[in-house]
Amino acid sequence: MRRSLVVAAVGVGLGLAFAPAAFQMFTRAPKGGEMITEFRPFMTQQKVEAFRGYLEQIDRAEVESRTELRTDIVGSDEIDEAGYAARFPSVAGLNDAWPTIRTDMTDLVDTIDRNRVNYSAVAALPPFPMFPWFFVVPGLMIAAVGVAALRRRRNGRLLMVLAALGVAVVLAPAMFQMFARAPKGAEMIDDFRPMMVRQRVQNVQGYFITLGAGEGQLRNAVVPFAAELAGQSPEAAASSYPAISELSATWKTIVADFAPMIGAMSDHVENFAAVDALPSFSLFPWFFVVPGVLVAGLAILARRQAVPALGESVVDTSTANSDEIVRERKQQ
Amino acid sequence: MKVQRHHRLFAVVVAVAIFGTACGSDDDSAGTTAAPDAAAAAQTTAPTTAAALDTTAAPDTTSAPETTAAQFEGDLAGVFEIAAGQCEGTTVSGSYFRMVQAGGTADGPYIPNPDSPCATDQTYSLLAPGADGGLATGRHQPAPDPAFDATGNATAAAIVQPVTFFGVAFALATDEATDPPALTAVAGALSGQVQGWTAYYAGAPFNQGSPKPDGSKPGLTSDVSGTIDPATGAFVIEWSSLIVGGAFDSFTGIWHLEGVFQPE
Repeated sequence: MRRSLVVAAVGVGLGLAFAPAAFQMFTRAPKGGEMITEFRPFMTQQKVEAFRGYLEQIDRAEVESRTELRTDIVGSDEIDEAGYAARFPSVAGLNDAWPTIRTDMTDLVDTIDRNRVNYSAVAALPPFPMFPWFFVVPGLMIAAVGVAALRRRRNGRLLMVLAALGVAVVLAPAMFQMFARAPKGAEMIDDFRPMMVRQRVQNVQGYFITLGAGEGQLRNAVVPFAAELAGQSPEAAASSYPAISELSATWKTIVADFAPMIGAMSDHVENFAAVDALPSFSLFPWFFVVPGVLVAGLAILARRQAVPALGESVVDTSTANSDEIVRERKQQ
Repeated sequence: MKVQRHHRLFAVVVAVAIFGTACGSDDDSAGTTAAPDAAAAAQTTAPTTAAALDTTAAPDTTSAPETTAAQFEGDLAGVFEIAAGQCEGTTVSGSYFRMVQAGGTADGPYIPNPDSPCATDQTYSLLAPGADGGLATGRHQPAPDPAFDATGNATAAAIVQPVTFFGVAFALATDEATDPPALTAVAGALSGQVQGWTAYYAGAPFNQGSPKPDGSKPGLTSDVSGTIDPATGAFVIEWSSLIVGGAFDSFTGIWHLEGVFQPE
């Protein structure tokens, strides 16, 4: 019976050690780590506020282009609505697509904003590439101590070590604040799931093209055309459309900020899928607690069975070989 | 009496012969002069034509055309100096770049560049020669460090001058982590690799080489191909290259360079 308990503890240890291989953690966890690192620059309040500011700026310019610039040009009788759309297709495309773009991009920024705290919690966990080893190392230690205990007749101390290892495994999640952090990671993964798919990323890439083409055509063609119609200088025309001018003035900054974010999203679609394929983050603390409790419990039980009654010798008939038992009894 | 007649006849025959020889000597001498001239003319013309038409015509007898042919045959080390792109109505000449949208084919759809000077078709972004005049083979033309200025414009300017694309300048360089560009001419046809061809844009490098540095040719990435005039070095090179990763992942760049090769 006592031997069976130790064998069971060894089994739990081996299970813990091989769990990362079963869950493909050695390949998936580093991808998660890479993603966490690459997303860091975009998961700040400052960046979120900047993105919101850009969206508001584009919104103002789009409204101005549709309600003032376009009206001024079409109202000049030089070209009609259809002619405007044909002559300035990129601006017309921006006007048509902006409601969709604004909704989707706002949702994206909201998602980032909502998960900043969750991200910080996950980023504060030990490095992802080390995750598999948090299972492998204690698992192998438990298995090794258990095997040693099985091989020794007097194994009380080894059983105590085994119990201590079990307790350490139980305490590890608490030490790394996993109970608080891991569920936040799970929440972030759930929230990012609709965002981190190839189609969504390609949509965002398309938005970038629509915005860039629209801004460029406003700057290079539409505003100069309006100036020509109004007999204004380009500078005077620019001041007539302040929101568009503001957008053009900051466009490079917008590109410099948005492009890396789109790049990070695009580059980590597969990495996100790898992390998403791992067991839920919420379960991770229990992957330590349950085996830890089992190992500690089994070791303590085995130790108790080895403690002799008063006047009895400590002879473990399940783990000692027959010669040793005979020798022990002769000595008695 | 008979003897005297024979002597007179002999004298007449000899006299006629001498006269005939004397009269005919001009013709003969003319023929003798003309023949070398024709041969010389043939020797001068024929190898040049051969060199122009057939770059494999190695056994020429004159040295000058042979040198010309050798400059534009085999592995070409030098600079493919590009002619600046130009738009005249719907006609685009010189060197240019186009970008195919994700999911497109080699025939498009292309992304319009609102900063392109080609009013008729803004999907063409024109290239103008940089400080080196164009693409160097056998050596790298790396980007400066930093590769971008404070406003986000790329600054590499050896191959081409930075090109404004969506309000921000992109620039070209060849990545030192890859093999330097290598192009070979065989009978006027160009082939080779430009695996380190890299576009710098919006704060990031985008490999635009063919093949890719790992030797692959994903998506619409095509072989580098083109022609070179063995006599003049006038060339046309084209390839396309899928963007892998980053903000423009799955878009494809199409590169068209033309100009004159200058051996080093």
